[in-house]
Amino acid sequence: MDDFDERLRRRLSTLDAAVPPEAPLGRRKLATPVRPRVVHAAGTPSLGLAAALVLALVVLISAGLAAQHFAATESSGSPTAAATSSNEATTSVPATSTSGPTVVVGSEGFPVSIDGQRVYRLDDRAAWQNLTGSFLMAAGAPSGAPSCPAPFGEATPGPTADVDLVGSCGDVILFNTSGFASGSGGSGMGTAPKGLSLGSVAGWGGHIIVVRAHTHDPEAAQCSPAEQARCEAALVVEAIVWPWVPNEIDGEHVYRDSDGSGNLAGLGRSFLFGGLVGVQATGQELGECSASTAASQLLSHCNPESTAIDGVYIAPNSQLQAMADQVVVVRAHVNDPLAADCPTALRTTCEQSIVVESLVWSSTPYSTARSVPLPTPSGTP
Amino acid sequence: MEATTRLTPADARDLEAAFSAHMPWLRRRIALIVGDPEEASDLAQEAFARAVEKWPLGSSNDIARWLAVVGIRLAIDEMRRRRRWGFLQLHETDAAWALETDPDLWRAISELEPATRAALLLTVLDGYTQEEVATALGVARGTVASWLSRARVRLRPVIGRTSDG
Repeated sequence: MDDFDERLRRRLSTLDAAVPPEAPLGRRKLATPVRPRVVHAAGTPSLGLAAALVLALVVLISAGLAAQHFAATESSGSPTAAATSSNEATTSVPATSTSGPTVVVGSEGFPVSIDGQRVYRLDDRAAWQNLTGSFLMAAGAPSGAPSCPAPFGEATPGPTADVDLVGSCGDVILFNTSGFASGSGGSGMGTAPKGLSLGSVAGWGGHIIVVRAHTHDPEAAQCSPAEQARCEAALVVEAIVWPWVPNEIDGEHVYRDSDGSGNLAGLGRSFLFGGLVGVQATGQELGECSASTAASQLLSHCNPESTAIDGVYIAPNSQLQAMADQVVVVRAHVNDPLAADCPTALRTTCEQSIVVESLVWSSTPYSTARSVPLPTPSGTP
Repeated sequence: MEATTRLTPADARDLEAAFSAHMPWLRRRIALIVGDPEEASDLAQEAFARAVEKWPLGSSNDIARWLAVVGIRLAIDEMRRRRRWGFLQLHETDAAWALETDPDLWRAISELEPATRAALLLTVLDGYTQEEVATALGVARGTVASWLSRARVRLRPVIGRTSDG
């Protein structure tokens, strides 16, 4: 190899190393709002993983590069901009994928791989306990409170690291998927208080979620000797990665409950709000708001049935009940003019009520398996 | 669904392992051809999808070689498709990562024919022989040699600059 070739190789290597990695889950910039590419696989349990993988890849063959467009077409309420492909983008930033992660859903109805990365199950502790670095794991989300709410919990003696990793307050219990899948409940385990907060999973109770987590947290080195082993084994949840919710659409930030829904009141304009839609009976009579049409339209507790996004109640007049168990991004506002007609005692609450203006994006991560196109034999490359 | 029943659980595990091992490399290599890393991801995944139909492919080297062939061909086809239909042209913003890294080199290799660019990358960057590249791309060895010769002429003004370190 002469000097020219060597210099060319060096510069090509630099270029090669500069190729951006695949965007982290949930952090891809969206040029258009679309739903994640979800592939539901059926098959016998023994072949579940194989079938899921095959079907995922086969769908990619069938759909090819049109998958993103297909996904956009399926999105509910997509704005006009959804027709713009990433290749037509004229923004000053690199065009990015318009789809969410590629999710392969196993026969049990939750992901077995996301963007090619294996999803462990909480149940299979031996498989993930000693992994180095972050990994993906499926678990059942809690619907109740942590063992003791952090602000009111016991004063835990010992180093901060003990509290962060194995403190008995502020932890969130995740459940084995097997219990969820069979509908029989089941056991679970507490996560490190420094990781997942209950607010992050509010509204997801009773559903399987996939989290990015790790064990052997560096902070374990600061734990007391007596807790060293437990600290090393502590499960630290970094983020919920599935069901996937875009964090921005057309450059506009999608607010989540974990951002602090109380801050939404200060926005003074409409905003995007995303998360899982939950519908439940309140079991309440209309009570104090029975005489106020405005209150019954704005306040969940003034209705026999309430709708929430990520556990945050939204105004009943938002008409999102039909979207139960779907992940959505809606355009919404607070300080609705209707609040002025609420009884004085309820006016502030009415003003804080989140009123949905339109559905911007949705996906159905918990839907039952759908048919997948049969593979089309392709020729030898 | 033949493809499903043909894979054993062991095959599926091997496939997963191959995906983890080769996907990053394949995606980067395709990105150097098409420019857009996200599109490279799609094309690399399509290459894996085709691998499923042929699975098992043999040793790790065989898998890498097979994926290189399929992935590069898909990338070349995609570039030709863009040109043929006169749309879906790559915006510079799609390759901002390359323009920020080495604008002169990126512009120079972008002007090469896709197949020439692929041959250059496979030989210079990955150490494939001209014979191997010829087989992979389905052309005569002399054709590859000609492509590489032309590429060197086109790139010499860029590589010859002293600012390249």
